[in-house]
Amino acid sequence: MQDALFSAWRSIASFQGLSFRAWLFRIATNRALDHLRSRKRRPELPLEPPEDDDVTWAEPTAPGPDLNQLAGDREALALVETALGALPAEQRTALLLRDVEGFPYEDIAVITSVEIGTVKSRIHRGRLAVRNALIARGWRGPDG
Amino acid sequence: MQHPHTELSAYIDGALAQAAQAAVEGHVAACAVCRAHVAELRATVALVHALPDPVPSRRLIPRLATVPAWLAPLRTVMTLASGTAVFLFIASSLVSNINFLASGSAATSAQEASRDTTTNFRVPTAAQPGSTPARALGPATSPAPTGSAGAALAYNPTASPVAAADGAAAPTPDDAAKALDRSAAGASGAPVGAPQERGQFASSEPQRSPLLNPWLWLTLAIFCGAIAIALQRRLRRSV
Repeated sequence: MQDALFSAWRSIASFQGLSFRAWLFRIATNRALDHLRSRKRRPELPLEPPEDDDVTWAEPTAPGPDLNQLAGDREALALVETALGALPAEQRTALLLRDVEGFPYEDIAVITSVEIGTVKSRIHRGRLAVRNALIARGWRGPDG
Repeated sequence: MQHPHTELSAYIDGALAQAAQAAVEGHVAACAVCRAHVAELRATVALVHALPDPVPSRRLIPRLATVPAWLAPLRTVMTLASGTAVFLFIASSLVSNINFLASGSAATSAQEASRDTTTNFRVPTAAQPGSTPARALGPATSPAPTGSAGAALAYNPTASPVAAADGAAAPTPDDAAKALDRSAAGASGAPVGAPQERGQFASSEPQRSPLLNPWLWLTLAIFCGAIAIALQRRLRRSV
């Protein structure tokens, strides 16, 4: 954290165009991702999985609680958190910047220094992974 | 139109171009599968959004906020300094004890040796006021033994200079006791010789006083140790 703030202070001259919040997120995100990359020595999932468009949509395995039972449930939130933790860092970053921080796609593209199409893909894959993790635990979606 | 699966997330975020947005909207209205998927994705977004804000652990906050970076090195330095001071305390107390014993017997043997070389043997009457003129001449002109040495010899007739010299090289308890005995006898038996005796010992006084004082090191050890313990507690509390 202080590392990111220090970087931000050093590169305050590069602050232009983007909103200050997005600019700060960009620096913090880059530092965090650098840190994660340097820490993980073991081989892991490729940062950018191959682009096969037909991402699997897992089907419900067995009838389970629907969203009305799950929403607000600690168990569901714990499931979501676990699923997020299993995502590649880049997907998780894009997903959280969108669904938690509420950045528009354009800002996320600038923050993470990738094309907007990549942002779209990462967010979708991330959401799908979380959704599949919920489905795997018996979640049937909002419509039952 | 095929199922626009990969577009659904961008669709619910309103991030598609206008034409694409309208196309997906039309498909979703007609396709139950895609409608269900959109609903699932929206629900997923809601769940992700509902995640509680990560609260930084208490391990992190105070350490970043309040503990200066020099605290840990200072603790290490203080610990080492305390250990060194303890060592110096032990060393200085040993050295000063040895010095005390050695100087006591060495001074006596030196006095006896000078008495032998000058053969200016003085009887215990040297302690009488009659010896005052010799002392008044000062140390440079008075190789003669002091009254206290003469008195000491008089009180310890069995102690030879050779034995005293041996005692200085390797003091045994017996010799040390004799040396103490002599000096005590000199001090009590010849009060007028005391000032000069102190003057002769003055050469060893400056060595002993500042750095060979064990109490200095003991105080320093306690001081540094207390600081090291305080710093350690401070560091542990913040971690």
